[in-house]
Amino acid sequence: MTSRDRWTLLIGALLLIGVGVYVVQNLRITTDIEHFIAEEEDRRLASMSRQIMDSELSRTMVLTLTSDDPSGVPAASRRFETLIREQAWTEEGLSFLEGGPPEGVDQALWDLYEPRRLSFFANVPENVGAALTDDALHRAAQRLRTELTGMMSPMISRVAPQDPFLTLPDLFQELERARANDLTLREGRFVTRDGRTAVLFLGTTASAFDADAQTPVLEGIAQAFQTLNNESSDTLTLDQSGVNRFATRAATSIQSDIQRISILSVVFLGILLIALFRSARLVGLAALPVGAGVLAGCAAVLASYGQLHGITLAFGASLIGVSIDYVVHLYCHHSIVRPEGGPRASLHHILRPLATGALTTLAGFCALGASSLIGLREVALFSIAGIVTAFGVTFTLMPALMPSRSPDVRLRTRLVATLERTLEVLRRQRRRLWVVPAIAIIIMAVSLPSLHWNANFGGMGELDAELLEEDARVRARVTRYEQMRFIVAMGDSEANALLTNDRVSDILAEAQQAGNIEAYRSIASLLPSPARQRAVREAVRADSTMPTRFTRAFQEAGFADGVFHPFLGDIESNSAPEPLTYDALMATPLRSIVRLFRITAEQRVAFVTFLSGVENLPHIVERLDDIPNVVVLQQDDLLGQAHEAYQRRTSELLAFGLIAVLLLLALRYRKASRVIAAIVPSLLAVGVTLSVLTWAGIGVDLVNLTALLFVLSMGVDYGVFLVDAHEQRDPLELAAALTSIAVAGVSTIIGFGLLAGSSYPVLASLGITATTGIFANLILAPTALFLFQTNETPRENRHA
Amino acid sequence: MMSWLDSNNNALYIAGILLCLLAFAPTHATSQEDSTEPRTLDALLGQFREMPGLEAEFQESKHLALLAAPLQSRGRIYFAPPSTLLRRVEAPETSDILITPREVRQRQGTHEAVIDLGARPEIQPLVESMLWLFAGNREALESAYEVRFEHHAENASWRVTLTPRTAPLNRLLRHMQISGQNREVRRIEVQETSGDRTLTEIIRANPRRRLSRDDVERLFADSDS
Repeated sequence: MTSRDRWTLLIGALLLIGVGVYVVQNLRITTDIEHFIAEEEDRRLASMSRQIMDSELSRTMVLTLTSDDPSGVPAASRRFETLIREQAWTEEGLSFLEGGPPEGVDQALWDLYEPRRLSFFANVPENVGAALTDDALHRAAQRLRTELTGMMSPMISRVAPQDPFLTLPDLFQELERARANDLTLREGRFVTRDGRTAVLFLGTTASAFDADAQTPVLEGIAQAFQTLNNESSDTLTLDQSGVNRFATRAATSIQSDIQRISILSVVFLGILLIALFRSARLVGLAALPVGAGVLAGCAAVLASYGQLHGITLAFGASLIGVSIDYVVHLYCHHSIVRPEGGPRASLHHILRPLATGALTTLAGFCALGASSLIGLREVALFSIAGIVTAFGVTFTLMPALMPSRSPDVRLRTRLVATLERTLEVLRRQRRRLWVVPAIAIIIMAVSLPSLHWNANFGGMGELDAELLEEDARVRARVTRYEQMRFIVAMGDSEANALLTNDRVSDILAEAQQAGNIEAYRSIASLLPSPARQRAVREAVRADSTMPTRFTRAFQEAGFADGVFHPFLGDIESNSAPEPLTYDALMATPLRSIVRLFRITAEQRVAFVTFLSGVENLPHIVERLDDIPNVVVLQQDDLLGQAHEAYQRRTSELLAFGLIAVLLLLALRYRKASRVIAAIVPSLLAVGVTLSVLTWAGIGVDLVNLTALLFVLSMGVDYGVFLVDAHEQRDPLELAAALTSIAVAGVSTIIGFGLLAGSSYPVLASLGITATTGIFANLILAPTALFLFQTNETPRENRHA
Repeated sequence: MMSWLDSNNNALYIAGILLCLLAFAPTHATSQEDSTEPRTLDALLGQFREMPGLEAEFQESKHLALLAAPLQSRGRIYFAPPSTLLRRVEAPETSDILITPREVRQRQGTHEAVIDLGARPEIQPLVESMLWLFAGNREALESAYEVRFEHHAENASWRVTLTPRTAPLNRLLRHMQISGQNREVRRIEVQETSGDRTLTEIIRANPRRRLSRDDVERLFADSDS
């Protein structure tokens, strides 16, 4: 080892350690599906969808404690809250935990709304006139009289002098309904109507998709329940609902599957390398470019995006398959061809095919890097950084670290001899080899007309069935509002957003009356826009005849003269309180009611309306079309829309990538037959893989479409290795190349074969795609070599 | 801002409901089967304690500052020992109030509201005080009210005056007077701090009407239909 080698190794080792430390310290895995929603195609929808997904709505969990004995439910709820609050994670991780209404809500209601009661006289200014006609005044007087005979008389008699229309009691009742949702209170705790289930709302400070932050939350809840249930003699049942549960389960599943598969792949590869090369050193060294590639990929994505998507990590596992090709090719050449000059000579010998393979792979992923999807850009960045690093490590570090001679291994000798015989058979049967691509083409012709796009992103949005069932149980008890459909009203300022929200609310009120929707939940009744608050107040004060008519109607109903002076005084007063604001509500315990409604979208203020029992959404959407700055968000449709956009864009990108690969190969070989021999097998392999996906009913989705790029890249690598070896006109070179392809291919198939059995649909789809594609490549690449390359004559075999 | 809501409007709201209920507490004494006139508070409360249940008819007159003339109403009360009570107004508008140790439920027309007493620890003693009176629990009653008993031997009449000791009830209620003669409760007067006054007269009572908690809750539920 030269001094230069030592310096190179030292610098390389330091760089790798540094990158490794960075990755370990910064590794954050997310499963946020929004990474795979298009931006350019519909940036607005995607942005808002992400906002909602990252809002309090998605960070709120609903916990239900059920017992057969309703009398113990409130106490269990209180104890459960205490047990959770005692846990360490709550110090920074808990945003709120409510098992009952916060204290002070009533006082806050009074303080905020009583001075502004005239602004809440009616929902819309247009309704004020109808409420102040002579008939309406007589009805109001009669209503007040009736209320005074009833149970609320002591309260009503005190409110009435300044609020004879009972605006505040009505508003209080509406707020009470909004607060209670579908629940009732027992001993100060939220319980379901049957009293058997306590309900707690828990909000986390971290995003629901931050698996690292959510894991202690979920573990803490489970631990608190275990303690509680032990204390209650196992009489309680806990059901939970929350986006974080699905996200964390998915992240855990992905991590554990990838970990398991990576270990098994490494073990299998290790056994294969030991069997073929009998060198622990070579086995250990093989991990160097692969590990460096994965680390570099992780570091590049973490540095650019701050987190790593589970899908990107899954593709990272695929990178092992690509980068191991370089090492295996080097080992095989070094061990089988045994050029003078040891590993460095081998590397020099195969540098051109290695570089060509790496460049073609990079070309494909550079094209993917132009994708509109953040998730795919992550995959591209990961792959580019990983491949460049794996190639660089193979080029700079491996020759210095490899032993100068590889021992003779009988198994390898036999394998090479077998492959040489196979190649000879193929050469002799060259005229019949067209059968192989013909079969591939027939398979494609039969299957591809049925090819379908899978709109659910390869099951990325497919939720864990067990959790889904539990989630449904909770939602059935607690809320009937939909989680996937919202109406978002936006504005450059809070006042403008509320103004838009007022109009949305007006339309929904009409839709509700028309039976197009069962109910909706909006902040509009609690917080109309400042303009509407002023308009309603002014509408009440506008009619100068009203005080006289009011006094007459109420006196005729038996009310004493002069008792309503406070109300009439307000009507005549020119001083009015400032309109109620969102911040004013948030500064009080009322924040627990209003905080779910507001988000920021496109750096603008936005208010969300939740829908329930939607009967005729198209009708509502049509009505809302007339209002600017309103978006009806249907998250499920959004994914479908994004997928269509992705298909369009990604097809273009893949075409660009393919052209780039073709250009590179043309530049490299300058001969059509070689270019065809290098690329056609991988194209056919892609076609066969698509056929298998069609047969399996999986179809093409975001994930396996991207995985096909790996299939194409690896197939081109195989083609390039074989074509270059064939150019040498040395059967041993060709046997070495074929051995390396066989080893790399089989190890990749084993790894991805295991991935195909993953419980996570995305990983399974990825596994099936890669396994099928690489297998097809292994069959097609040698076939294509002899089918399309006719004029090279092999030289004599030197030795095996 | 109105002073009555300075602290807790719901507290006073419930206290208001209690005013409606308190007006029926002593009707037990109208039993025709008891021959001994209560000469002391303990004797009166003792009679309440022995009550197996109660159904009584009443008519009420509310003198409110808001109204030029009093509001008249009539209805019934049902009590199931130890702690379930229903007040039903039958005219001019129907309404029900059901009180249990856990909650107060009110229904007027189609509107029904439930007040969870567990969520209102500041209110719970007020509601319980109502039940203390029916249960004849003097010690507990005196913790919430100043209780004064007057007996007039010349006409065998008596009067109990309950004056709330603590907020929020004392901000709403000045005092309540229950008066009767011999075994009979004749009149209940509730004087609010606002000057409003409610006068209730007992028309007929059956202190031997055996009622269970389920019976009373069923009566409340039946008013749905």
